[in-house]
Amino acid sequence: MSEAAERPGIFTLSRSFDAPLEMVWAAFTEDEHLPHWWGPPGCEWLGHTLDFRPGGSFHYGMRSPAGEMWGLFLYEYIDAPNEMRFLNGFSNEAGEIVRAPFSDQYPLYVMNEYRFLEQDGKTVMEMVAWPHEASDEEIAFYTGMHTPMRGGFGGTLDKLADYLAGL
Amino acid sequence: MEMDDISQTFAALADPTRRAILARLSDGEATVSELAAPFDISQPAITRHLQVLEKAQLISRTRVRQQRPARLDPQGFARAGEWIAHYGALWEGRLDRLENYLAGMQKQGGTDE
Repeated sequence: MSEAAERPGIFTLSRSFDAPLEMVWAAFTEDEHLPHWWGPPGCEWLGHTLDFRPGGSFHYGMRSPAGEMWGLFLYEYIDAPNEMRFLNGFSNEAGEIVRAPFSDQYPLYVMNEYRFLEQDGKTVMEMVAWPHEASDEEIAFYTGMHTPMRGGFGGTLDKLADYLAGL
Repeated sequence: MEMDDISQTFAALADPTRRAILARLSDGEATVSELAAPFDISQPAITRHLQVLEKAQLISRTRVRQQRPARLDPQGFARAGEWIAHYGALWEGRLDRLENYLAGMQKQGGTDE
């Protein structure tokens, strides 16, 4: 059975970084690093708490020209420095999961699996994400978002983000 | 099934002519004939693009005498902006930022040795 059949709506992305594995892992897992690059340009970072351990969470807020938004990661499995699995969703400032501000059809929870492997001094990251315990409608919506998630409109959305940042 | 608002917004943005129309409107409102001038397409075709953009709430159109000038509508942009903020202006952009950040980390760490 294919991965896509087991995990409907699965989104995959991989990327190679010219940096050692331990450093890439630190950028994803340490309080002093993660907030520095996670949020998009033009967003004000409102604060965060990071408790990186199985059962722990990352809760963060940012304010974009479009409004205030909070997100939550719930870490389920960690095998440092190679793999992590976590659920993520939109939340409120109190850390409760809420519907996405842009759509009621976006899944409440998305499962994420990140794998990191060192190859010739570079680090390859493989990311997979799929809707967790979602309805057919939520899965269809998430699948429809794959292309823009990848930046598939030829940088248009980045330009749009710049435009919004300038408002 | 009714298309969700944000899906409609992205479907509207997927077309290069419509993106060019939005770019033009970011300089200020314009009528159909003003919008048609720089493009090699007819006014009816422009009107159809405007209808798609209006449905996606990326533009709004008022009525001024016989004209219906179009202007950017913040509603659609705000919705797209929320989405973009969540995705860190898209994964590729977020990972580009990580790459730059890692380069900075390496520079700092490398000076001790």
